[in-house]
Amino acid sequence: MSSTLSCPPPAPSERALRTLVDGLLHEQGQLTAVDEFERALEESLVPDQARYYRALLPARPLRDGEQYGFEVNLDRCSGCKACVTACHSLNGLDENETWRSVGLLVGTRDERPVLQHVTTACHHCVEPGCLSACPTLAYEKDPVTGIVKHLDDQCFGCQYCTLACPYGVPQYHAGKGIVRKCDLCSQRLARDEAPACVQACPHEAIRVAIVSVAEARERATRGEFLDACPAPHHTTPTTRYTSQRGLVADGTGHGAKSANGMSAADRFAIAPGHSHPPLAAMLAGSQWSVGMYVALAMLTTVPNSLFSPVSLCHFVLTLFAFGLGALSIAVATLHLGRPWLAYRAILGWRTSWLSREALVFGLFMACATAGLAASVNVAPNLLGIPQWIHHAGFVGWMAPLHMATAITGVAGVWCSVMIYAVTPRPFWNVRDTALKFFGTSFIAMAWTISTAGLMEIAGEHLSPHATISASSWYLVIFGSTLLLVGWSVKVGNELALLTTRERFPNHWRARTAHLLNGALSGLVRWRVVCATCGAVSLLAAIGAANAFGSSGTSAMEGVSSMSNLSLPTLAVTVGCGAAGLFWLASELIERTCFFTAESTPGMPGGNGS
Amino acid sequence: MIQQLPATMGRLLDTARTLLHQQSGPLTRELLLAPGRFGLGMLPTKEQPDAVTDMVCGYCSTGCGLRVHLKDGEAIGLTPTSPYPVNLGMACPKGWEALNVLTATDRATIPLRRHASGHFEAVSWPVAVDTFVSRMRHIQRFHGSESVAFLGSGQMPTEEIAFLGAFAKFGMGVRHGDANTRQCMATAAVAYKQSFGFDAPPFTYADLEQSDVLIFIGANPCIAHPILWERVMRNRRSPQIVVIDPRRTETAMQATWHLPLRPKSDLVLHYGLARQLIAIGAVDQTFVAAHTSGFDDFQQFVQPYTQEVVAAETGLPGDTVERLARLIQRGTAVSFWWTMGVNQSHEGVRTAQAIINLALMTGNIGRPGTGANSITGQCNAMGSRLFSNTTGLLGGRDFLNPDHRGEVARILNIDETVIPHKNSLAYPEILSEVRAGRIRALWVVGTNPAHSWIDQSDFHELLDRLDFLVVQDMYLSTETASKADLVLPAAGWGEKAGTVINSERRIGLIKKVTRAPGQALADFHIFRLLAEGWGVGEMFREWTSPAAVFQILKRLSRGRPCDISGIRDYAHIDECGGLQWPVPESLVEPSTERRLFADGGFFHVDGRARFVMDTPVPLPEPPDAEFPLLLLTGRGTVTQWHTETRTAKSVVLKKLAPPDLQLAMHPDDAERWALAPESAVTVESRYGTLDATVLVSPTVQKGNVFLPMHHPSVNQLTAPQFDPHSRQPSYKATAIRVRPRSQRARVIEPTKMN
Repeated sequence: MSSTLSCPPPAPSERALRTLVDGLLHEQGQLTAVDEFERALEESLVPDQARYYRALLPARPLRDGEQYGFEVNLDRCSGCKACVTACHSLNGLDENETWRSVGLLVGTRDERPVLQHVTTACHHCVEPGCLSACPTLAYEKDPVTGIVKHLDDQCFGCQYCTLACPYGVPQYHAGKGIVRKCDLCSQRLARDEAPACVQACPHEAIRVAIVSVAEARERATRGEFLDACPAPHHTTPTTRYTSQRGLVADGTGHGAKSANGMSAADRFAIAPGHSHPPLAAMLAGSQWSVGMYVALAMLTTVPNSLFSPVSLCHFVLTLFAFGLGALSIAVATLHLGRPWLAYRAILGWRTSWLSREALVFGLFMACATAGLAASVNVAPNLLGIPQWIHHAGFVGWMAPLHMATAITGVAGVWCSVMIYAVTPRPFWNVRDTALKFFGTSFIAMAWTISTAGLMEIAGEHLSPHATISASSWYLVIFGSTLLLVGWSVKVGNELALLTTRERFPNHWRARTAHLLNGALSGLVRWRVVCATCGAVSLLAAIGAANAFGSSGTSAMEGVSSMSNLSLPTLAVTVGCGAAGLFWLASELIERTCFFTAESTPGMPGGNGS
Repeated sequence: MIQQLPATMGRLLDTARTLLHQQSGPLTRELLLAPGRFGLGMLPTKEQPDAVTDMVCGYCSTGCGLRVHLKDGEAIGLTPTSPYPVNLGMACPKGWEALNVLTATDRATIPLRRHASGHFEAVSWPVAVDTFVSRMRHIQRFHGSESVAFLGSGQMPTEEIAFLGAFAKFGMGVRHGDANTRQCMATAAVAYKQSFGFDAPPFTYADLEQSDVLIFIGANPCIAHPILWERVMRNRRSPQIVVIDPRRTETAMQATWHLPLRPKSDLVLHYGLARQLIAIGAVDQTFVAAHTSGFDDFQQFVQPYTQEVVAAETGLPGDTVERLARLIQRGTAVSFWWTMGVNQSHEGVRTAQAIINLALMTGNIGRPGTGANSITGQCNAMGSRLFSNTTGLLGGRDFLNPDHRGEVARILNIDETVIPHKNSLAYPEILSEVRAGRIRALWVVGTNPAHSWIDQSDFHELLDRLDFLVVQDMYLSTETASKADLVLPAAGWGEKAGTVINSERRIGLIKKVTRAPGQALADFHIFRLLAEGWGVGEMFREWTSPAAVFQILKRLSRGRPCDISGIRDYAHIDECGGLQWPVPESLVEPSTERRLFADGGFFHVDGRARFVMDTPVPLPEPPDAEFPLLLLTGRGTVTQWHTETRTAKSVVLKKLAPPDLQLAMHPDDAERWALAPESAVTVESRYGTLDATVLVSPTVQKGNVFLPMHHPSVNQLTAPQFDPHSRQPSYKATAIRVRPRSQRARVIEPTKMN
């Protein structure tokens, strides 16, 4: 050893080293495995793996009233997650796409420190929530096998199925703009091959079983499925979880924790949901628009109307209501993964509230368009519309058109409510959702009435001969009172949730409150700030209008003679407009929270899944 | 014209139907499957192979067979090999994703040299070799040949491990080298060597299926070796499964009986159990008399370990030992399995030997379904143990033995004087030498000690003291590579050939099925280059390829217990689905599953196994008032491997692991320290601190907490304690304390989980 050091051998020339490097790099680039290990593999018709999975496939054909379903023996699931990677790999899924997941149930009682991994994929439900929700008929339940298949080319990427499925099964693929999901490897089953997960489970925990639909229904009615996960009565899942350890739910408790003391390992890890900006904008905007149309219908229908359809104010409000409605519905298509297929939205009208919403809002826009056309004709000649187009006759059309718009709009908002209310998500229960959605319309309506009154006051001021009628003030008082009441009821309901006394983390109210008090507290603050600014703006507008009524008239005369738009008129207009925009923003924030604060536990997650 | 109308109408109708309801199309076709050839079953149409080849996985020591799907010679996917005797067509997620981590963006693709400014500069291979040689020589010239040391890896094929050890010691004159196997298998190796006379795990995986009592000690195969658990699940004898582990692990869940003893109290339990077995007459007197020595001393030695003593030490119910002894007595084939809970301990060697003693005294060895069986960690820990040329000479030999040195010199055709007369220092002692300034240069190959070594901040400080740190790795982002003076880019598993030896002594093949990125070279090629650059190319003239070195290894093994001279070549291994050592030339047709000691003959000169024992010593650093909790560390999830240099590069594997560092804590402790679930905490030991979130779980005992070892900061906490015989670090017993990191966490009502 020391001799090596004392007399170092001559270093090789750099050229020799370079030659060696080049040779080695070349050798590194050669793929030799095939040549070196050439050996004949038997080309059998039956896959090699069949020897392990044959017993895990149904032994006989399906009979009437039966379908295929997964059967998971929890006592054999050790949490190795091979099923997830095998499904990912053998189905050629994209890099971050997984159709199967493995969650974790943990015992919360000291005497029962249970740790149970749960492998889960599509439950191929008897009443698939995804299928009935889909507006494009992109889901099919195979009449023979009962497999719930997704037609990838039919899907336009609305992701409603991802909200409608209680178990988080359909996965949205943003790159492709569609949803994809497990089809029980139906292509493999058709050739007597086992699904990827069944093939790959080292412990034979997953098998394909023949499920009696009637029995599946009975089990779902009894609430028998799996501890600490969504109750099965909603969609009647066909996956059967079996266990000798008492982990199968006996109907005594669902949600993040069960009566057996089992909890999802991830129950405390609550993160805000996706905010779905186009949907939040569509909901808040369309509901605001509907509220305005309700107000316009009321104002133009009430006998001895205080509000003239011929006024500029009417035109501006109609234009705003129309524009907002049209914009919101247009924005909604941005939510779609493949917006050019938006026309498919109405196909599922038989079962899908989303299709119904699309249809009804379509009608709403038709009525609104007619109303706008009529109001253009009756509007004062501010837009350079030739006088000959004006027909006094259109004035009579305004009220019925506004009424039709308002009615279809209210029906549309109801569809919006139902879209969310029918999902298995308690935060989106019909009462709270209706209060939220119609509440937005109500506030818009109240704001429109107040604004109409205030603008009348400002408008009357424009004409020096007119006297400010007390009836306009009635409108203002009426509208403002409605606003106050509507806002109080709405916010009161929200505050009640924030201060819920339900225990974290198992009750949905507590989970949502945890988010709103924590990660989303900034949004809640901004909502209040916006609403307050709205109130201040409206008060300022009322103040400015009041200035005319009392002493302002003479003082402002000089100004109004100089310009059509006096400073107080401007103040009223800006105040009303600002109030509307602030409130709309406030509702938009609330609608963002509607999505982000929703936290319904699906299948147990935890420890990664 | 008229006739064409219906056709046109039909087409129009079809188009309309497609526009309205499209049953198939490009998106549907993306997921279309086609029947696979080569017995593969259906595969995605876009990923159909034109050839397949079998190789073994490069993560853990289970050594699963993977059938790599090839297109134009290059890997496009893989499935577990259905007929491979180890895994029976199954793989864990790491295996399924093994190819996907090779294309990571942080692969080292060109040699990097640290510039005077502190930044890395890309250099050519000749410059890198010159830098290596001139810096190493310079340091050796001024500080002696012992001032350079190397740290290798159980992740490399045996041919590369042997090349590293041979080149460093015989070529460079390096005296001290060790490998990351010190962190996982040193204890088992020393225990076997002392008890059996050779580092020889006796079992074959079929034993898992053939036992009627399986006892797992400090092992969580459900998470660490899921495919071994497959074999347990395929045991059709309704076996009794006993799991001895302080934590309620997944494996404990699957057990028929879980013994949640106090951490590191297992040595007392085993001695108590031995005493009880003697008391109830469960000793196989014939076997003990014929094949062992030292039983009388052992019998005397265990007398003080009464049931009361065991109960007091372990915290287990008083009748535990009695029940367990009866269970073993009734069992016709009892097997004992241990992993890191035993190996990583301040008295791991004696604990492992206490397990071996139990198997010996009850005659549970050498028969199907029996054995005192150490489950190994890394894919080639066994290859490293036999051929690393570090603390032992090539082929399980001894540097101190002149006969052994002579044999090696003859076989390798080298001058005997280049073979050191002393064994290497072990890993911790090498680091002590760094501290003392006597080791000035370190060459780290295929391991990431800046993450994985115990007492991390001390280790980082030691790295900073070095004059020259060379890191040879697949990834340039490892904590160790980022501190290097020279980074040598290495090809990884799947990009090179060689053999690895699994837990059951099965030699498996890895093959080159995909191209390494940039100028990355197989470690084998890098050693060739460096040997050439060092001027000792002549000494390694025969070491031209892994296949050629395999022939050298055969010669080195001939006549040794690990004799593999009967294996023809790589193709032989490929055809047989792996071969378990020994395969002497006399063995004509080795069967698929073979165990050692069937004839009761052990490797000591007298052919007898030894009973080895020692009085248990208390934990070096038990919890106290200042640091009241005991931290255990271990494998987190199946999808995480060691320091995650590889597994973190697969999106799917990452998705299947916890997103942050979670400290598992018993509900009572969480309540005691007012820590809410998911709250942010700071964990402190005498050696460092880290941040984590609290995972409240009764699966850890009161007074214990658990952290998965994969997070880079975990070894900030661990206490530098080592087994005195194996010098393996004791990662699983550090006194710590926990305090809340932010006040906001207290908003939630603490800990009450119902």
